[in-house]
Amino acid sequence: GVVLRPFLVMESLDGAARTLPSIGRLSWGLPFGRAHGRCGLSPSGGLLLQKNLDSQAVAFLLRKRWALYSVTPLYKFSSAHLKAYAKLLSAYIAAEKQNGLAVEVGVELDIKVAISCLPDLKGSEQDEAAVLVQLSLRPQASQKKSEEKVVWSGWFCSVCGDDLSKNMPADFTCLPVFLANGAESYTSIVGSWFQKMFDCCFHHLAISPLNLSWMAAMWTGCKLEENASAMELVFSVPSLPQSLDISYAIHAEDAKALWDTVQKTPGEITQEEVDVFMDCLYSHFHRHFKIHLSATKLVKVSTAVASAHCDGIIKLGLSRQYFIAAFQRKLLTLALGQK
Amino acid sequence: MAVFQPFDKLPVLNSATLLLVGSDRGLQQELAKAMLQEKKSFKISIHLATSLPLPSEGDHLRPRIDLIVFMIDVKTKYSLKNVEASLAHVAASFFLGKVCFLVTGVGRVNYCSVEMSSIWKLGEVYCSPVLYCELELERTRVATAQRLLRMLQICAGHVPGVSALTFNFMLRNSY
Amino acid sequence: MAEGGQEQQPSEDRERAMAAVDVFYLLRVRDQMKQQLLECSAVADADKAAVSHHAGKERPVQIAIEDYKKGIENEIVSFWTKTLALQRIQITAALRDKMKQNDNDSQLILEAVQDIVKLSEAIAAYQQQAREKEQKVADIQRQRLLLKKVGREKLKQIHDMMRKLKETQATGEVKTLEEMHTAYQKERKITSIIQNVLQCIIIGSRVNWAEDPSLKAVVLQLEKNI
Repeated sequence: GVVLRPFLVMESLDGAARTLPSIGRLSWGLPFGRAHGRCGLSPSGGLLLQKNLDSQAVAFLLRKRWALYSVTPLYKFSSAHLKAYAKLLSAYIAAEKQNGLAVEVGVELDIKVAISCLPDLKGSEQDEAAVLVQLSLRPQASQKKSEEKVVWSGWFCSVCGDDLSKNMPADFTCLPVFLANGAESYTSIVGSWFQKMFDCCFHHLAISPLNLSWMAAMWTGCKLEENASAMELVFSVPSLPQSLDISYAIHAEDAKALWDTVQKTPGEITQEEVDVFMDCLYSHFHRHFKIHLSATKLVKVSTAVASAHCDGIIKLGLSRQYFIAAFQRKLLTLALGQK
Repeated sequence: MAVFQPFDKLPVLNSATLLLVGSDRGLQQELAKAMLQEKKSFKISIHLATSLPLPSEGDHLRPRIDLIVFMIDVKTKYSLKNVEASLAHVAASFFLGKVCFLVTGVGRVNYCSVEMSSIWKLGEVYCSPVLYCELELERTRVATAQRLLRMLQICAGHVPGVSALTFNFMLRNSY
Repeated sequence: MAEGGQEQQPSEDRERAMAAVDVFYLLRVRDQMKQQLLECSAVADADKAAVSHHAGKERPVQIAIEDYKKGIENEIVSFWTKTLALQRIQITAALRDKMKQNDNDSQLILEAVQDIVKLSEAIAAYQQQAREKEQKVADIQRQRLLLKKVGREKLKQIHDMMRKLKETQATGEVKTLEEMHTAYQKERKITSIIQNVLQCIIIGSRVNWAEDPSLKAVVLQLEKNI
């Protein structure tokens, strides 16, 4: 069973001061059987989140491609000084653009940086509020009327990491998941600033096929709207001279019906259930095309709710109601399990 | 359903036989090649099979098999299923030290399609050691080949005073 | 299922191996063989132990005790019969001596003996009669037994007849059933072959069957196992 409860991770955090140790095995889970490998889909935290999500504040998070990163805890980060951080960061970006020439802090610059809190994005009361970083191009003086254009945005979050924040040593803030949208160059500049400023470390977060199948099952189980788009699974066939991708689309209702027969307890997903679900899809495919999909690599999952690519790129779906805590918790576990 | 027996044939003088079972032929051959290139004081023959049972026609030609290595690739779930299906054709007495599971693709967590716990479970249920390696890397492949050769030597009874069962017990206790 | 054996010991290597047959090689091989022998014998012992686990050692002792008890009883019986025979011989010898004296007492004894002889003859005659009667009873019983046997055989024959009759009726039904089953299996095979062929044709024709609803229905129908 995949262990999704962060407390397992925490045990190994006790002694580690600065960086999260490589705990890859924890994301795979120690114990066997149903009893352990469970993830509550809608604990109280999830409900809280859904309720708050109706606000417009987070609408911009949807329908965008986000690259995933895992972040080690931030040292001496305080949400009270966000404005000062924004000034420092914009100066840093300008300095980087001028190949390291120092820039006076506080002067008006080409690129405006805004750092703000997203208090709505919380799984539970104990969670740290999510932090949003936005870079926008300042309009030219000649065309005053034009709007500021956001060129890059990224946000840190921590959802349902109760035990995580409880066990964190003082001076540390744990926001283990970072999502970025925009040019790669900005990501690396902002990343290096955070790295220098708060002594943290960014890692690209890839999603393994096993976790992709998890997400496929989880999103399939969500309630459907009318005319939901089909679920699509993309597989790549390894060890062939030329690359071959297989795309496998299933009607959303059909997938949902299958998942409902597989799932034993509503609100919970076990590894066994995910395996059975995927095996059913694979055997259906095998009957028609005589290809064992289990011998290939699952590369991408996309559903009406969201889509995820194994390179660590996700796109949150069209309906904001399914911006579920469980998904973020999954990402959280992934981020903590990352080497 | 033909079932293998570990002691139904007599050993051949100063030689040992290994059976590699796995769905990826390329990796199998690479590993076999690496094992053949190693320096050794005894003759070895390596039999490759994608799955068990082996065809019964060649039964009388086949020498006594001293060690069965089941190869599991963490990148494909099919390899695990294949191994699980093949295990039914192995006699219980083989699991007294003459079977081992070789998990390859370790260290590529991002490509992982198999749950690690199911592999541990397999090792536990079948009382056999689980070796982790990455056969696509030259160095680990060579190290794995050496390790397997040493195990094979013990399983074939070439090391005085150490039987396959003793070795298996020591290996499992050291986890 | 495919299996490839790889025998690798190039000929030059083998020659070198032959050249290397020295004392150390032989000692090493001896050690190997000892170890292998040990393992094989361990397995053999384990098998043997598993087979004869329950057979204990107490049985032979008990049997011997029983034998000795029987022997003692036999000895006691033979001792008693021998004493009785000896006593009889002693009595007859005493009687014979008495009769040789030829006095009044001996006269009486002679008469008594004669009486005994007469009575014995009578007893023998009666015994003879009784034996004849017994013989007759036995004969009658034997005849009854014979009759019974014959009766039983007849009954058996009747049963057999009945069974055969029933069987002949039943086999007819079974045969027809079997024929139907084989025909069914054959049809099933043919249908599944046709299904596969059709499936392959559709896939091979590279038609996007998902677009045409009727074709899609056909293809999805083909998936079902009969």
